[in-house]
Amino acid sequence: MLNENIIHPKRILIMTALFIFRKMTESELAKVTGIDWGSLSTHLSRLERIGYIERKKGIVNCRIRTVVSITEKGYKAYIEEIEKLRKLISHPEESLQSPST
Amino acid sequence: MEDMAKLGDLALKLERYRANIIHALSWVVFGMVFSGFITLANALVLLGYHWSVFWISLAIAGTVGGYIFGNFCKFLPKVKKRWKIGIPLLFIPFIVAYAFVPKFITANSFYFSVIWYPSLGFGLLLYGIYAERDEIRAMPYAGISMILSSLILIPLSNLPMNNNNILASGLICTSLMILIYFATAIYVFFKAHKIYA
Repeated sequence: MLNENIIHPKRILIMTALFIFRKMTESELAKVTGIDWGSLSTHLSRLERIGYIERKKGIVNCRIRTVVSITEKGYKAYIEEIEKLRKLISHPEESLQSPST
Repeated sequence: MEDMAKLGDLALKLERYRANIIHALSWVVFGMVFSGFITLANALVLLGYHWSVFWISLAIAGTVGGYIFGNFCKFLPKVKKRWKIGIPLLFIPFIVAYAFVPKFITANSFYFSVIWYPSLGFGLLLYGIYAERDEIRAMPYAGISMILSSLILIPLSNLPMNNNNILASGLICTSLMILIYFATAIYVFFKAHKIYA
């Protein structure tokens, strides 16, 4: 079973950006992913609730900004999901059979 | 689904590539820090300061190097934290060479001015064997090169023990270290793209 908290068209963009850059401000994240603010906030709240990301207020370029960072749990989950997804695409039959075996 | 897999795959490769580049860069930084402090210690001894400046220089180089390495590690894969145990392994040969061996042999100024070199070689070998399992194996090779090139210390130890010869031996070790670090950094940098391995 794929983890829907990550395998989602918008959340995968957020998680990929954070996986690569480790931490970003919310505005940088919105710019990189192209997700609008309202939607971004909803997805970030969901990811934060399950412990994949952390949000903290911090001073960036002399201004108070919300900095989003990936947690160790999120980092490991991301790698796991990408590997599952890779397997599913390269061997779809095996991946469909594996839960029952 | 396929696009998500492609994106994720690319991110994982990028992560490995960055880890390799950080490994290559850390060699250059370590080489600069250690050679800078050791050359400074040599210069201070030539100016008439006590030999203990070597200890102080090594301690400062180790602290600065460790701090920088710790900061580099923030960008290394979060799941591989073997470096936390690896760093103490790096220092074990130094502790043995500087604290224990002098209790059993008559260690002279020559010994103290060059023993850091084979110690570093053994330290890198231990660290590399333990911590570099999935990455490009650079540290064990650099360690072995240092240990083997330490053989040059045998003929050097037969030279008359005056300040010039002792300092020259120390400088030979420093230059060998810089050359080995340089070769390792270049090797890792050009191997960095092999992220499919």
